[in-house]
Amino acid sequence: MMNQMIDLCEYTVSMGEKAGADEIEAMWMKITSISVKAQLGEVSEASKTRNEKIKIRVIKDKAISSLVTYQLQKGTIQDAVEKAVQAAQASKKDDKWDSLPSPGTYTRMDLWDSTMEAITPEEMIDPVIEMVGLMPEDISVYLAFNDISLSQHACVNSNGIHHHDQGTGGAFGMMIVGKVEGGVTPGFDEVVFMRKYRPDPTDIARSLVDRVNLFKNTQTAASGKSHIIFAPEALEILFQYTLFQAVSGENVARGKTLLAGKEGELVADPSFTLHDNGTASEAMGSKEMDDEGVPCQDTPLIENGVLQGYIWNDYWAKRMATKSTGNAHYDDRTDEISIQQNCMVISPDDHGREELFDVRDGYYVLGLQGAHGSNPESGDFSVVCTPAFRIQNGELTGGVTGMMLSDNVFSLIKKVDAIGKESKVSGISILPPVRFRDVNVIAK
Amino acid sequence: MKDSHMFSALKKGLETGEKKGADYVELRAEETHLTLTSYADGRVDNLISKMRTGLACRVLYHGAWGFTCGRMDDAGTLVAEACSLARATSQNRKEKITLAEITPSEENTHKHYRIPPHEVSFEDKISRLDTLYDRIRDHDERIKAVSIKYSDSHGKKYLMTNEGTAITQETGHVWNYCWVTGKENGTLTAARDEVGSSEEGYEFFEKQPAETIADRIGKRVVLQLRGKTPKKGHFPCVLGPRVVGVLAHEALGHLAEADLTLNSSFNGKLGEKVASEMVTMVDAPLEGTFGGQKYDDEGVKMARVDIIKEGIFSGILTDREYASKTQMPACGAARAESFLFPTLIRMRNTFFEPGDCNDEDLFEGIDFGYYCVDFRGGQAQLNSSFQVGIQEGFEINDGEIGDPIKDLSISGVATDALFLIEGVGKQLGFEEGRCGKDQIAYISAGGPHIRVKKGGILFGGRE
Repeated sequence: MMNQMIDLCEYTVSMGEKAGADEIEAMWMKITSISVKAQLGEVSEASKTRNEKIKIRVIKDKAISSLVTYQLQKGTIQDAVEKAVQAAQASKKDDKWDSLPSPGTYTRMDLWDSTMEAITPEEMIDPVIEMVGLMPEDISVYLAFNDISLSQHACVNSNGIHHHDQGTGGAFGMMIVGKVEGGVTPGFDEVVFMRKYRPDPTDIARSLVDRVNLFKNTQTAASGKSHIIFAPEALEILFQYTLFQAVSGENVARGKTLLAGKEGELVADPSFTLHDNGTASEAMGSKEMDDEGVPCQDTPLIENGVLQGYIWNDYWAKRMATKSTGNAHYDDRTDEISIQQNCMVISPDDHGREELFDVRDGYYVLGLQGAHGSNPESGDFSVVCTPAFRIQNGELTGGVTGMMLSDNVFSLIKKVDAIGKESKVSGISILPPVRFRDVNVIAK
Repeated sequence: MKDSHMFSALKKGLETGEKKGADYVELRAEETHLTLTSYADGRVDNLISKMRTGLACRVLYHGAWGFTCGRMDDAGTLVAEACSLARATSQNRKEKITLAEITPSEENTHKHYRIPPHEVSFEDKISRLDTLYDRIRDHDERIKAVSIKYSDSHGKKYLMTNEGTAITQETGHVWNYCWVTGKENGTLTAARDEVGSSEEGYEFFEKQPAETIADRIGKRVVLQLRGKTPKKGHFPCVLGPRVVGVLAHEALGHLAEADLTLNSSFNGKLGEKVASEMVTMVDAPLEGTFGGQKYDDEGVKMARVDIIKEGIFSGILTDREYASKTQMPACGAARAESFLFPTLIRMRNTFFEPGDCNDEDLFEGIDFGYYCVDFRGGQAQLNSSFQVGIQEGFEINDGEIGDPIKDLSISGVATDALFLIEGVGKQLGFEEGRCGKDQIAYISAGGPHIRVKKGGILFGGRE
């Protein structure tokens, strides 16, 4: 299959050269996904989707255009290439365009799990039923799921890039609410992201039930400065819309981040180290090449609090006289190429759970509402913590509702108080829980 | 492909489904041409054409769903596979899924563009972006970076079921999004603007010319730079139509989507008072807005739903499955982002109905509070906690609009906050946008100005 697709990419590039393109890139991608879902306590749907397409990027007289098609016959491809060249001719010249990427050295990664390739939907149903079956009557399952995907990519360009990679991935999880007098608790969810197929229904069920039961011990929050421990999921969503944007090379080049020009400066607490690691074998975003064929790598961003650098795609790296870090990201929905993280990793420290929660008063935040409305330029965020727990004398004492946080991410990373030692793999990151001090809390 | 050829191909898929014993077979084919231009500081970043073609197959077999999607010429295989998936699922269900009855429709719907977006050249589209960029930069010297995205689409969706539905709908949209960065004395900030139509063609930009968009977003950025740090806590407030729209969408709209209602704080509350009696909230396919079409993706005519009528929780949004489960009407709210996804229950155009207050009267008697004019994102929770990001807001001092404020979030609990609405204005306004409940759906939302008593809305400021 991969050979056929490399052939199709080569054919596409040869057609582009014939059609008068100065440069051309063909990126073929195929994602096959199988999913089993349960709603309202019962398995309701099994699905298998195939998303296979080719993206053709053409440069003509320093103007760029792309064409995406799901029709992969050679005749259709030839027509598509000609249209892409015509579109480039109608596009706007970019005097700063240099060239498409050149070949690099790839880190060979074994990201393929043959169990996932062979598994049947019937086999995927059982863990979902088991997980749902472990829920007591006072808990309602909004959604339980077992998803796997098989991804394959091939990239050929007229500058000599010629590579393919593949990977499997899975997500197994559940979202529940607890029934309480007059309503429900906030939704609690737990998702385990897997490179190898190992769903564990018992672990997820137990963790969720414990949290919901603890939440029912209602506690109140108090306005003022407080210790906040962010669970990895909450930290990921907050940083996705603030800090991770601030280290984008494009935002540096365009003057859209307060971290621009601060390499070598202390920008965070010395305990804080952040890398983007596109080669971490357990990460969901890891791969051999990015979405323009550049090798993925481990890129230090903040080391012991000191800013080390940024993430780049090939275009912005060349404009700023540096090298791509393999962070070109193709958006499957909009088909845009932009700079995105592969896998953000905060280095864990040696604080076990007891040490991390050892504060007289504070809050443990599992999820945030409104992180996507943060201001990535200023770094300001104003979010609702839900679900969240009160910590008193080192113990989680119950759930709080309606509590908000209003602070600034560039201040926040200077207020790191303790970093946990157990990291969690999520969609775009591998993060430990992190405790911050003096965070601005607003209680209802 | 000609419509008749398409339906012949789909019919083969239906036959396969019936041979396999499926109770319900639904085939949804799509041929869509999309373009997207992303434009940053005077340069074209991406100029993308996309031919999205494919087929979605959904079958109900012994009370469980199977869904597949893939190539258009593969209907028989995809249906057989969907039956096999559904069969595996059905063996593990106790309560069988059933569908609300509908009268199958056969229709071919058309768009009535004056300027079809797909007939506008790339040169002209880029020229509009150049003008828009210049206007935004010219608005104020503190504007330092401008990102613009423009997209349009044009195509057809075909729906055929073994119940006799055979619908072809012409589809399309135009959409413009700006993100603008301002800088002053080392302070950075940003604001966004989003407009679109799924009914009008490129003529939409005659109503939304570059100058209008530039003034709107330029003003927001400058107000952010000048803005005071907002206070934290509960304050009386007046919300403008764009914020009211997001409030409608997030505070109760999502929880009135039947798949969410049944797990939410509003479960079992139909017929109960959930809001001040001056509140009537509706979801409907409105002419000229974003997100409506004649039929949904199950072939049900999109119909108005009065979610709250004079304070009483009166209706929920359904697809055929949840209409059957809840014994509520199927209202045409089943929508899929593309052939790659099964349908989900989604809002269309959600709004508060106008009341009888003059806008200026809504500010009267507020010694100190906030006027929230424009938003940046929002989010709902199953326990009815809602959040709305505010990117344009002002203090209210002694009943008058005062200084601008920096961005913040407001939040509340819908089961409490909706009772604290104490004034509803006369004049409707709308915002157009996208909702991200698992899939992206174009929506619009709106309402008149409303006033909320102290205690209904928590302001996530810092002072």
